[in-house]
Amino acid sequence: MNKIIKEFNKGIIKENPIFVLLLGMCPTLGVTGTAANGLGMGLATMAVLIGSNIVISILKRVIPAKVRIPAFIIIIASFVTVIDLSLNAYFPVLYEKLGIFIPLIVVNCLILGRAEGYASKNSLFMSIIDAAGMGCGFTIALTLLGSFREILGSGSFFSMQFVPEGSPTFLFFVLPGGAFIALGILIALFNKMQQLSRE
Amino acid sequence: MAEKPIKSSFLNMFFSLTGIALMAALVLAYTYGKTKDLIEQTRLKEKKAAVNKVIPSFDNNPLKEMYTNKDFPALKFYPARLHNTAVGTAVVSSVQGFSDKIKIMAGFTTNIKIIKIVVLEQKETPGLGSKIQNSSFLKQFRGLKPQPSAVKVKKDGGNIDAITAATISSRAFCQAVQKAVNALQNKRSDYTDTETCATETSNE
Repeated sequence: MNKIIKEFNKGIIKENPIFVLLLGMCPTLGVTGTAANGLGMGLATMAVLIGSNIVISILKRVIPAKVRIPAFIIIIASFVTVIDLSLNAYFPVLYEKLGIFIPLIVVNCLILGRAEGYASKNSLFMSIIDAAGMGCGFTIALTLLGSFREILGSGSFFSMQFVPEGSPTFLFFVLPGGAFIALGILIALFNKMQQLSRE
Repeated sequence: MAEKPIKSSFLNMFFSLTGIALMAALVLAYTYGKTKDLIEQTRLKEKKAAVNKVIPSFDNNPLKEMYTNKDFPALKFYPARLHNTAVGTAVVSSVQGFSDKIKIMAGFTTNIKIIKIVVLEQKETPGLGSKIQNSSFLKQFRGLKPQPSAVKVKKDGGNIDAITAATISSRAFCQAVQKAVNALQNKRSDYTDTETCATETSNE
């Protein structure tokens, strides 16, 4: 039981994909203009991650080592396309906002990284725990970053406006350049917190 | 715990990859078949909702009666009728904005007066050009009769207040509206020379 909790937690804190491993930066910087977008992207990525980890863990014995990367990519790409089509059909509003970043989940190194580094070597159950932990870590980080940028840049939180319309905000944080600065600030804070908790 | 995977022999690799690809194809085909109709429906519904927004009341299906004009290939016209009399036309028009195409739908009465305009697609700078979607900008167009004077921002001699720090986006928006007006007028005066008609409105 302890091991399960440890594996789950590692994705959120010790090996957080964004704040520590710095994996999957493309969607991280691209879609986190608002908290809702960050959350949506995080959940979509988590769904793909859990799906691909399950299938790869089941198939790990019948995938020869030499062709494992193409095999992983086919599996991941299929899951992404399934998510892409389902979002388009059932959540058209979210689909419109995430747009091009959904197909790009295929090349999110976080997913291939977990397939190669964890699911292809560990049992089915542990692979699911790993994917869930990593997915949660990714979602939390993306939502945090999205909230940070939305609060400063648009003066709202999950589209709830708390400054009067037309009042000046730090527009910079909504623009792509602001994403880098916001991510830098959050990583610095995250490191400081970890340092403090170790002492 | 880790069992060794099968050997990387040619046959093993061949069957493994083929099997995985086949499985993927099956799953994708199934999902595609399941979602295809729904995606199509949502797209239609969105379009219909947009027509509903720019033209208050009609009882025909403008989407079915959509037509185009070969002189204005970028535009799409959706005629609206109530009890078999024409009440107006919704026009989808698009122009190059500041960062990408701006696509709008404008509703016109039969004598080419603007009822209302909605933005369908835009990727303008958030916080600046993206304000073309705000009601404070859009409501300037409501009830506007675009001829004889053209739809232009004040800087260009028109009477539309451009958005601060987003003149290019505002200008592009006006162009999109003007394009729709030109096309509609061109259609109404089928017997006049189309060229002069278009230039007249934009030069005045």
